[in-house]
Amino acid sequence: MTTKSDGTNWNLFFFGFFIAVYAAFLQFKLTPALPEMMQLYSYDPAVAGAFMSVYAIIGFFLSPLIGRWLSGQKVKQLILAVLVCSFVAQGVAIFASHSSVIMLASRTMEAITFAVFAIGGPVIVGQAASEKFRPLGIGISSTWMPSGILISSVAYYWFADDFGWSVLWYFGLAGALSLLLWTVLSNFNKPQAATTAGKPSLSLTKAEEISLLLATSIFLLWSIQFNAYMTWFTTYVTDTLGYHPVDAVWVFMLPVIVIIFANVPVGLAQTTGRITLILLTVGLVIQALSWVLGLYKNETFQVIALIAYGIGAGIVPAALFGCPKAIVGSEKYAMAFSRMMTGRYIGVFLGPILIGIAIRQDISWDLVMGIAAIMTAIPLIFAGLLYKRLYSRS
Amino acid sequence: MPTETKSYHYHRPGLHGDLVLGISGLCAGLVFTFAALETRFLFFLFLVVTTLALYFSANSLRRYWIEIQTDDKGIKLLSRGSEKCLIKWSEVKSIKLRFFGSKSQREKGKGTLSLTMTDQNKAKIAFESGLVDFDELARLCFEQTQDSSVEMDAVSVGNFEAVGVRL
Repeated sequence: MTTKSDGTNWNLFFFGFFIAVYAAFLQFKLTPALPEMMQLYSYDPAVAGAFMSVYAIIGFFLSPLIGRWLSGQKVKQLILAVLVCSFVAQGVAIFASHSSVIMLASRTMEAITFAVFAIGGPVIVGQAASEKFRPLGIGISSTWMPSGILISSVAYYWFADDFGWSVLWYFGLAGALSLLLWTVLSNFNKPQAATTAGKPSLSLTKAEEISLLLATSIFLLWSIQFNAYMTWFTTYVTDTLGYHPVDAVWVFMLPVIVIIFANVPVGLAQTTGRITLILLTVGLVIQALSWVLGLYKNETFQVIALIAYGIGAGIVPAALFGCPKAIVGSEKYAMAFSRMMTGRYIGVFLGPILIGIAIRQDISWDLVMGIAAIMTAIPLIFAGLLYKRLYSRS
Repeated sequence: MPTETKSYHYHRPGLHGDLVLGISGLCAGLVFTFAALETRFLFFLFLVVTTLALYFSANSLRRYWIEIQTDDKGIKLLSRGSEKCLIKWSEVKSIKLRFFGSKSQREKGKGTLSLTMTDQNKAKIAFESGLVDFDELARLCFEQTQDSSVEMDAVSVGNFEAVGVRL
């Protein structure tokens, strides 16, 4: 264990960050690979959408249990178990990718690993960081999702021509083995629970419930459009704009890189709840406008739209993670956070499937983008209402 | 009778909240409108929504500059420090206090009250319960106009009782 004099356990700090990045890699490695896999195996678009959505179902049902597991004494065993689970899942997928049923089963097993690491990663980072480094920890750990996406995209771009889509699954196997080794060599303190286990006396007031409902609705609607975008964007770029699948990944990476750069300062800037909600509003405005810009078939507009989307998509989730603290404070943070995550998981579930169905029904991409713009703008009104609820009276 | 000039401003955190909500609604309305450019009905529907949000935002912004002043002579409405309207207590013709909100909001003391005073020359001053010390100002307006024959309907009488005026 590498503990410095300031009290930060850097070994666990980076371990928490990397397992979260690995979780994002597991989920989003599908995005760059999907166009090629669709060509090779002709999956039904709705089933292909379910390859992503299954992550949401597993996350939705497992999250409360994971909080309890992480608060127990067997954290190391839990991490080892889910790493073995992801190793087996990806190994099976490589050899039986022609079957959409086996692929779906494999993605389900990966989703268990994702669900544990998506909660466990930030919790471990938060516990490992001292007070001094906690804002930095929040800033850095909020980049886990785009970092995982970026790694999968870059790996695909560099190696797909020679090895095909399965190279990402081999990367996944290598990642699982590396993390297994890291886990075995690390000494784990008990991470704090991400749930309310052990705090039965805490309860939310009616006003807090209503504010959380607003925040959860924002997360839900935002997640629908974000996960639809992340799953189907490369397919749109190859099918509609005529890009080669490998070139499409470059286009896809542009907003993802911007997301990473937007994540850290937003994490650091959230010194008060007011700032959190204003950042949330600004992020939603930028992202909604980027959908509208995407409707215009002008190359400059399209590039601006991609950058704007990345900025918005960097600001919004980082601000949403700060919302529970703005609404209920630190004491009831975990309870509020788990409520909000249900909205996220429902969005993760619905987004890819809805677009998959739209593609099967031959609905135009322009209509899809218009609906996505509206879906991003509705939470904007909710964000305004939330600000008014929390800060208009004093 | 008030012996000194007293000023009333709108509650700043309340105005910030209204402005954030207004601008959010305005941006959302613009996105809706542009996203629905191809569908005439939706386009006009969203245009109306956007216009309403624009009005709400502009009205919220305007209230930052509004100041109500009272003294022993009358009541003044100022905007950015300059006088926009003056009504002398002795010339008040009608006074109206309206409640906007649901029944349950009324029971909880929420919702919005709006007080409108008109004089014989049809000059009008209106302000809402977003003003700091609104109840005090409403009571003052009521008391100052009791000597003259001011028109007041039954609804207003009930609302004045709600803000603590003893009739």
